[in-house]
Amino acid sequence: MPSFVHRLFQHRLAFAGAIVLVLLVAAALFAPWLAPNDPEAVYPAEGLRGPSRQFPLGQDQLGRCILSRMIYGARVSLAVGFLAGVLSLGMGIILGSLAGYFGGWLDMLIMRLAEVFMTIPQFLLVIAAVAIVGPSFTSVLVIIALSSWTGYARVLRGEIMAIKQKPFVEAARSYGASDARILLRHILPNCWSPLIVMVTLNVANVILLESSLSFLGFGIQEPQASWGSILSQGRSVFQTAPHVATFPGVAIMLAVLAFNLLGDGLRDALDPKLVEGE
Amino acid sequence: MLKYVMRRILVAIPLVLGISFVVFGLMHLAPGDPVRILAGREATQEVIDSISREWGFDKPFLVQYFVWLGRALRGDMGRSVISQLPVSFLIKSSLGYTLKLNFWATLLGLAVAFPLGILAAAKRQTWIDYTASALALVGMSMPGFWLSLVLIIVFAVKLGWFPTSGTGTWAHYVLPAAALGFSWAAGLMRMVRTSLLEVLREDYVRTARAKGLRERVVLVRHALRNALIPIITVLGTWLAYMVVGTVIVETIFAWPGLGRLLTTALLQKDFFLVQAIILMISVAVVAANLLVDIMYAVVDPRVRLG
Repeated sequence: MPSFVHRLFQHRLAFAGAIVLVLLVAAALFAPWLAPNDPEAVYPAEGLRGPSRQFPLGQDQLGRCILSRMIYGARVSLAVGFLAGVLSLGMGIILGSLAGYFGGWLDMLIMRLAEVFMTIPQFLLVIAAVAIVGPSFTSVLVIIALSSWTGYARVLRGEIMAIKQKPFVEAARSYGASDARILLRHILPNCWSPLIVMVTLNVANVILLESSLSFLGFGIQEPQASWGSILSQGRSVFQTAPHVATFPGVAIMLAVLAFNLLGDGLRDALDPKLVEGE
Repeated sequence: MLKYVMRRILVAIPLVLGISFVVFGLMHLAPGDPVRILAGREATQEVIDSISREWGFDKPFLVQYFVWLGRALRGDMGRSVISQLPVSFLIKSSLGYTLKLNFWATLLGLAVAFPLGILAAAKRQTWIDYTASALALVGMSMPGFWLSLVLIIVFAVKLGWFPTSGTGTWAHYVLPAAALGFSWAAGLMRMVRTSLLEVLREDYVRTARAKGLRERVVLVRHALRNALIPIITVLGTWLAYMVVGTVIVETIFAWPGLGRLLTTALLQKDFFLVQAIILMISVAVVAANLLVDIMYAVVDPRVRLG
C-alpha cells in the first residue's frame, strides 16, 4: 500500500490531476464563501457584459455573475459525477459478483443484459430516458447511474471467476465459510484495483455526459446552474458574447482532464507491469 | 471461418431482440399510458385512441411489444406525430447527410491519429511525444460542443474562412468534420502509440533492428502490422463515439442529419421518431461489432480457432 501511494505521488501528471480535483471540490464545498456574488441575482441592464472588477468572468444574458454560477455549478456537475459514479459502481459490484461467483443462468442473464446496455449508445439511451421522465437533477443522476454499471460488472465478473479458483478460497470454503463471507471477506478485497481506475475514468465520462445533456437542454434546468447549463445559455449568444460559453467549457475540460490524468496515474501505480516507455 | 461467422451472427440475434425490448420499454418509463407519450403533447383524445387501437396499446405489454416488433421488422416504425410523415422516410432523407459528415470526420481522424501516434511512439520521451500526448489528452477531455463553439468563434466569426452552419459547399464540411473527428482521433492516437510501444519491446523488433534494417522499415513493416491487431478492436468503438459527437455537432452546426433529427424529435416530443432512430443506430452498432469480430478473426487466426 505505501509503495502504491508512493508510486502515485511520483506520477507527476496524476498528482497535478489530484490537485486540480481537490481545488474543484473545495470550490464546490465552500461555494457560499468563495462566490463573489449571488449566483441567482439578476442585473438585466448589465446583460452580457465582459469581465469586470465586480464580475471577474463577466455576466450572462440576465446579468448574473458567471464566476459565481460556475462555483455553484461545480456542486451540481461534480455531485452528478461522483454520485452517478458511486451508484453505478454499487450496481456493478452487486451484479458482477452475482454473475462471477454463482455463474450459471444468473451469469448468462446478467451478462446478456450488460451486453444490451453496452450496445445501445449510452448517450442516446440517457437523453431519451431523461426526455421521457422529465429532466431534473435526480432523473439525470439516476438514469446515468442505471446505464453505467456494465463496465464494472464485466470486469468484476472476470476477476471473481479467476480468484474463485485460488487455493485460499478453497480453504475458506473447506472450513465452512458461507458464500457471502467468502465473497465479501476473501474475494472482493482482491478486486478493487481495476475498479478504482474504472471509477475515476467513469466519473470523467459522467461529467462530460451531464454537461452534454444540459447543453442540449435535456439535463439540469435553469435557474439551477451546472457547467453544461451555463454553457447552454452561452450558446445562443456566443457569436457576440463568447465569454459566457468559454469559461464553463474550460471548467468542464479541466475537471475531465484531471480525472483522466488521475485515472491514468492510478492504473500505472496499481499495475506496475503496465508502465510504458521504459 | 464460415462457422465462426455464423456463430457470431447467431449470437447477435438475441442481442438485437434485447435491444428492441429496451427501446420499446423506454416509452413505459413515465407513469401512465405510453400512448400519451408516443402521441405527443398536443394530441387530442381521438388521436390517442386511434394510435392506441392501431398499435394495440389497449392490450397487455407483451402483445404491444410484439405488434411493435413485427411492424419494425417490416420497416414500419410509425409516423412522426409532428409532420405525419413515416419515420422511415424522415430517417432515409437525413441518413445521407450524417454518413457524408461521418465519412470525412473519420478520414480526418485517421489522418491525424495514425501519423501522430506513430511519430509519438517512434520519438518517445522527446518533446514530439510529449506534445502529441498532451494534445491527445486535451482532445479527449474537451467536450465536443465546446470545441464546436470555439471552432465557430475562431474560424467562422473571427477569421471568416468557413460558414458557421448549414450545408451546401465543401466549406460547410470543414468545421463540423473537424469537431467530430478531433476527439475521436485523440483517443485513437493514444491507442496507436501505446500498442506500437508495446510491440516495439518484442524480440522480433530487436531482431529486425539487429539485422541492420532502417528504423522506418522496422516501424512500418514489422511493428505497425502487429500493433494493428489491438487497434482494430478500438475501431469497434468508433461508431459509439461518432454517435454522441454526431448528435451534438449536427445540432450546433444545423446539419440536417440523423443527430439533429433526434434532438428536434426529442424537443418536440415526437417519440415514434426517437424510438426508430435509437433502434436503428443500436442495430448499426451490433453490425459494426460483428464486422470488427470478423476482421479480427481474419487478422488473427487464434481468434477463430480458439
